[in-house]
Amino acid sequence: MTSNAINPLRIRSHVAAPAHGLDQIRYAAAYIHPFIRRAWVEDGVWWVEVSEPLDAALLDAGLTKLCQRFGNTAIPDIAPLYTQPPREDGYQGKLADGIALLHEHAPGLFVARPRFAELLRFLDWAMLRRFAKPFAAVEETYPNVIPLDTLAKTNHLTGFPEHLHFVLHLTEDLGVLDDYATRMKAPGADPAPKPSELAPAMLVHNPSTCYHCYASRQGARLEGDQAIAAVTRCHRYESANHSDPGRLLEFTMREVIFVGSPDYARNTRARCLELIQQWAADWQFAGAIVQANDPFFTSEYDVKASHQHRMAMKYEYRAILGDHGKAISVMSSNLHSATFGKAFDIISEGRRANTGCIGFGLERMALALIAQHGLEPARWPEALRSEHAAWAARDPLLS
Amino acid sequence: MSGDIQTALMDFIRGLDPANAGDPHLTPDVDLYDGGYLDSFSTVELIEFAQSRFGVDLSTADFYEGPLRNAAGIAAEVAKLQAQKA
Repeated sequence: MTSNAINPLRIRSHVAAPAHGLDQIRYAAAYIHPFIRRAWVEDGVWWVEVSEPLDAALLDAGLTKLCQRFGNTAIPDIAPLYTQPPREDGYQGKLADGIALLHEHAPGLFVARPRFAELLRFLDWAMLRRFAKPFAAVEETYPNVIPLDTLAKTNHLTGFPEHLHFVLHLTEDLGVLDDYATRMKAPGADPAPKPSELAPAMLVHNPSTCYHCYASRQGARLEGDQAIAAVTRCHRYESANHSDPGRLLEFTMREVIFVGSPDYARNTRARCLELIQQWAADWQFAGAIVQANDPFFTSEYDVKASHQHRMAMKYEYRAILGDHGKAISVMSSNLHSATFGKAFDIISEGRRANTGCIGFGLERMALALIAQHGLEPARWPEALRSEHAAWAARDPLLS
Repeated sequence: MSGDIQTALMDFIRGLDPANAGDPHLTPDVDLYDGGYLDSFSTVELIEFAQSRFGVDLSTADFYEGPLRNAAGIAAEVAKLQAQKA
């Protein structure tokens, strides 16, 4: 009997909390079953909150699996590369002011109201100015979806299956199409198609912007290094985790992507880290540059996460959410080594191309900015205020 | 002996990626990680190769720090482990 007598929607599991990986397990627990809303550790064991009664054995089996997968890898506790303290004048905005400008259409799916949408436009401009221009990046446009077989080449399907959001259509069959349309005429009809009515998935929403860059260079023999700027809407299905601030199902990811020699990839990464520090200091944007790893979901976690840390392949800027206190990643700087050069057979000046990228989650950045500095530019730090004014003077909707 | 080991290791590393075959940058003293020649999974493959080909266990070796970041250093380590076993 594992049900809690006081509240049947809180279940105490038999599974002990491991020494490592608690955040990863807490996050991944949402994928054990759709009823799970959140998980936490209390008195040394896992507890979960569920929306409906759930079989305890299933829960214990799921938690045991996740503890084995994520609980044995000791991620080194490395001091931040750079820490930006909160602004000195003590002013602080409110996270709630930012959230109030978002209309939640479905879990994790938001409509941005005008002030928030305006901020997204500004932030994109500012990130291009600060992080694309120094590398003489050229712009490319990419679709918001990507062929499934293309994504398969990146190992994304094996590393992050939980995030995939497939794009489906009704199969090419007049009977299926007529039957579906007829059913939808009935008041209150369930709009979900039957599995048998759907064609096989061929597309998936972008989990990241940069995959299109590598895929579109399949088989290329490049002369010289390349910096490419691109922005797309990305999807990551995060189940119950969408209730956390900033965990959006769909979001805007601006990226600057670097393709070339190993030295180019490393040198541009080093420069990116300098530019991040300059940006955080100029905007008095409280947070820290920390070493990170991708949240590999499957049994590859141990090997890949450790490798990323040992090779310092991923840095994130984790911005403080103002009065909320927590920090969220608003940008990441990544080195991929030859992974994508190999996956898409890209050669740069006679050798396997190496790649890197810096990515910006614009909605998260906007939330953190409002939470730290508020909505009124007059109260923003000078550098941020003057950059915003320079942008606004040329924006057709504001000037 | 170490030279034979190094040659075999270089052949193994060249075989990881067709692009390595004609890559003049891939030398015994190049940094295999900075050069993009090894990643997490190919390191595991390298450990398995060393076990099967040379009979030595590199599973606890630190490939990320110091001399094992290049083929010459790995070959020297393999030769040392073989000598300890003899």
